[in-house]
Amino acid sequence: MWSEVRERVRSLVRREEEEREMAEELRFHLERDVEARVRAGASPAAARRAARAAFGPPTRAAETMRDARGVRAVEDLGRDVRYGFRSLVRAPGFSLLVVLALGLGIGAATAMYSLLNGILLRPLAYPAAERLYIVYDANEQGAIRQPSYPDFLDWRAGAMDVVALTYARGDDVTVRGGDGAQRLIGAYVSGDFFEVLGTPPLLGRTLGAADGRGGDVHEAVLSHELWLQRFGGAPDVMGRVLATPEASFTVVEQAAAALSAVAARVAAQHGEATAAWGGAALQSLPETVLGDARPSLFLLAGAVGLLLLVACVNVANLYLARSTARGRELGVRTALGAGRGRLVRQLLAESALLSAAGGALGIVVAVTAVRLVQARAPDVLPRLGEVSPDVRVLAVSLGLVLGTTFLVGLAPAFRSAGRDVVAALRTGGAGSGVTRRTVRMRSALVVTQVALALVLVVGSGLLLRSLWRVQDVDLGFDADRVAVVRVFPPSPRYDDERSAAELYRQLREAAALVPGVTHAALANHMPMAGGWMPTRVIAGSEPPPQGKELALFRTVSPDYFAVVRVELLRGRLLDASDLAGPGGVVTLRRQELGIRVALGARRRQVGWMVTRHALRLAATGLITGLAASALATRYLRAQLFEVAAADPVTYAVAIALFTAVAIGAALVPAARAARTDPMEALRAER
Amino acid sequence: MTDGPAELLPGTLELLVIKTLSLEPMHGWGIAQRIAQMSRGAFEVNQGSLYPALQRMKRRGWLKSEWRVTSNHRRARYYVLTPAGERQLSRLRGEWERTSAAVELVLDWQGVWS
Repeated sequence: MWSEVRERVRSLVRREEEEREMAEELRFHLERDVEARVRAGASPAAARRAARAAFGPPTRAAETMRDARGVRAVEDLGRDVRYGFRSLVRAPGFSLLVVLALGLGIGAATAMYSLLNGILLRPLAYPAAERLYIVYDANEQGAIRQPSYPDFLDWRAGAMDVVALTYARGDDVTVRGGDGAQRLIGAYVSGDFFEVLGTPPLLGRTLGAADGRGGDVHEAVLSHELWLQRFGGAPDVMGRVLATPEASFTVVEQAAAALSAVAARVAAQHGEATAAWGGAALQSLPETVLGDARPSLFLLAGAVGLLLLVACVNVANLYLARSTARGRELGVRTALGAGRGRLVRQLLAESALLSAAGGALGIVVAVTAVRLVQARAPDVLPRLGEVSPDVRVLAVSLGLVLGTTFLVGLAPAFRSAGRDVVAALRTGGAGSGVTRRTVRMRSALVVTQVALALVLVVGSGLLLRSLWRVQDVDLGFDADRVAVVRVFPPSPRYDDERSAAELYRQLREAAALVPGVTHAALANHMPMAGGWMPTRVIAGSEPPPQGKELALFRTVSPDYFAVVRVELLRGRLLDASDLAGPGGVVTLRRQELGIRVALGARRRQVGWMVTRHALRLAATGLITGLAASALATRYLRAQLFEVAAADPVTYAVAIALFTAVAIGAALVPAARAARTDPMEALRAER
Repeated sequence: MTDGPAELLPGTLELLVIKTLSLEPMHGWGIAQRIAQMSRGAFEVNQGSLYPALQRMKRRGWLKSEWRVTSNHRRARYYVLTPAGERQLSRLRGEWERTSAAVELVLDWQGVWS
């Protein structure tokens, strides 16, 4: 068994030598046969003839020997791949288009579904993340706020048997070090925070339940990133002192998960009621983290799915166009004795080559796209750091496109093998010999493609116009000419009102003295951004109706309005989350037209015939696409800002674009058809 | 020779080749000649089946091949039986004997059904 394998491998490796030895052996055999016949009394010429006749065709002997060596399939494969490569190089336009379509389709789909998988589908990095909830303090009107630490302690005391409650309050932390102060995102948490979340530390220990009971020494848990960035991943980080203006923290541990998530598991709770704030509201943690990202991501995923579909249709159509042009070549090969299996293998090899190239391009596109999104949209999408190009997704989209390629790639082999060889040779010129079925199939594909692409273009157009509308919103001031400096007065030095007010006054005066500064103002949050603080507002003596007494509240200095040039009563605040994501990418392709030179037809007639066919297909595709768009864009409505789902401008531009492309696509082959020399066309291809 | 060459039963070619090579290493043409001589012309082994069979047997490890010089100072590929090939000889021979005995029993049948 082993020796057989070894023998086969040896045969393969020493192919040239084997072939030479085989030829020599057969020649030796033939010569000996001739000699024997001469000895038996035949003339040399007659002996040679007889020996040849007995020997049979030399190629057949060699073939059967090769078969017996058991390496035929591998050798043929090599030949098929080489042949396939040559024939693809001879059709560079086709090959390039297919590889591009495959690469973009696979790449976009892989990138998009990697995002979807990393952000939405993969659970958060906590055990039982779906059972984690954020607990808010709620009042009778349904408004919610973060509970205070004493409130939390009461709640925990009351609900300890039922549920694990832990406390965290996110805040910025200034950390002083050798290279200056650094502002970090942090959170103050109760001692059992990490036990409740179920995230063990990579290094050191978690905070003990005793931590957080006050005292001079506070303990901190570092995120993995901070540990790497600031401490260079030093294993002896434990016990070092982190200097902050508020207090000194001793590093006790560095945590596996980032500190950003804040949660507690709750089934039921009740704490001590204070005035109207007597309830608790739960918000699931995954819901909170993912927030608005979910609908936009599913929308994008849908668009990219469409894109992949367009790519498949595109490739199928390219293949069909090529296969009709290849009818003659396949006919010739059939006539020369190539079996159906051989032709199938040949076409499979070509498909495999194209798919490999497309797949490679797809990987590059996917990795680049994911990196780009991570770099450009860190604030728009949550969990971006956890996203990486997904191999399974890549495999699935690759498989989908491969399936298409192989299916359509094989069609000509079966067709030509089933066809009368003579008929194939007689009619199978470049573009002639196109059967009615092929034409119908290709037309259907073109219509599908145009329709799908139109849906994508309309969808992207609507989103793009939304984006422009958002950007065009009159903020009332020139955002480019306003500069922001953030200050964080440390506690406890500025805890009392007087020293804080003094600091702010000095800051404002110092800023106003900077050359070029016309106004300087203070605010607790930037306009159009930052946090908000709901507060009760009672205007006049009449109490406002239930639930309407809450107003958003911002602390500003008097010259704030001069800086942002907003008249308070007419100001309209906008939610930045209205911004929609980018639209899909659209691939369009020129339809390849078979050229049929009608004998006697005027050139203009030929051109018009071709143009008319193309335009009719485009029109059908357009109408189908418009209907599909009208249906599909309804799901876009939530993402649009001051643009109707049936926005006439978007539709008009999309239609104009597609008409232009269709005319362009029709004119090129039409001109070519009209220019064709009938004699040359009849004489056959290349 | 007068009746023309007899047809080889499937599988018998390998047995005959092994038997020939068990006498001495030989090249392809020589093997064909020997088989023809030994069967008094009954078996004429066609090169189209001989060489593939040799490749097959070589692949299975029954034979080795090596280039040697013939008595006429010509280079030829000689086939040599390996120990595994010799074991095959007794196995194939046993098989053949059982088969031919059975065939003979059938052909000589003169008895009555019991």
